[in-house]
Amino acid sequence: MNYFIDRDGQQYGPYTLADLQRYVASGDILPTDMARSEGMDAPLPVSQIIGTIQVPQAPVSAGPVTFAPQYPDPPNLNWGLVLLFGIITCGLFTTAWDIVQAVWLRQIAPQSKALYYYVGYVANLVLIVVLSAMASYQHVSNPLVRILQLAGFVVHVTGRFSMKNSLERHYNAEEPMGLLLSGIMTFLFGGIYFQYHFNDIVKRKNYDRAMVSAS
Amino acid sequence: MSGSGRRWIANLAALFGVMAAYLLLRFPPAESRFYPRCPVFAWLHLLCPGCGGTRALAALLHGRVAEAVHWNAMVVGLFPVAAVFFAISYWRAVRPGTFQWPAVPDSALKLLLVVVGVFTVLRNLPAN
Repeated sequence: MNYFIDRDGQQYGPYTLADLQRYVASGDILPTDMARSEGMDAPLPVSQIIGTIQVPQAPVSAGPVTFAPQYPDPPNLNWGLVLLFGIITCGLFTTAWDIVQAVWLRQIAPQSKALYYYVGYVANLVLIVVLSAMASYQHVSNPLVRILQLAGFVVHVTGRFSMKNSLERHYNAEEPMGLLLSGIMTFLFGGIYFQYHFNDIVKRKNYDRAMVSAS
Repeated sequence: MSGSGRRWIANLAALFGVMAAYLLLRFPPAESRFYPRCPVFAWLHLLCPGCGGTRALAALLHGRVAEAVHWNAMVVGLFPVAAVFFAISYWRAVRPGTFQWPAVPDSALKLLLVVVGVFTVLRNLPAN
């Protein structure tokens, strides 16, 4: 059974019972946090869900508890601004922002291939501009441009889905946050959609840091 | 990201900005053919909110404000805001310490997106 945590109007999860135990032990989830699952009518405190199941104790540290960021935070420009800058630059800003996101992704998931696809897409764009300009000066049309446009579209979409897969893998294993990305939203909005989730991830990580600092 | 890496990216972005401004000044879009066409206009024959933006920026850089407004009034209106936003971002990126993007109130952002939507509809009305 999977559980969701409600905290400050935000929903986190899904978590298994084992996840809940582990996070309560590490202090990331408080026993007083409210949790619910699909079969529950109303949320219950985590302490009641864990109940009498023994929670492994966190190791006692000699010094004060400090948060050690193992992975860098995602780029945190407001997703609305990414959309706005993308609109007024006819997509150029979002193309550049895709690269920024993919460079960051390589830091947390070095096996990710998204950066290669995005760089390939940009190189393809440059080639299209050059060929279009040459064809325009010669007053002819170049059929290769259409083929390159189609190839660019395929490479761009492949990059988006490569990014989606790497993000889901990372945020459900190394940094378990229960991230689940929609295929349709990835296809339609790509980097803007990812940015929306990055803003949420940074907010959650900042909250966790504040909780760790406060405890 | 480390501070030096962040400064490197910020300086690279600033260099691209200066190069783009030089390109627009030296080769005005109205007289040069190598600028890419807007894909929205090319495929759908609709004016997207950014259509005419490159020409508007070129006109602005030449000090021809009226011409810039004619090409794209929204880009002209947003240009000072975007310039301040990126100037603050650049300053924060190159100085030591933790980087944070300048905060923009959600309400302002939503208003801007609505303005962009209305502008797009208005500029595609048959009367225009």
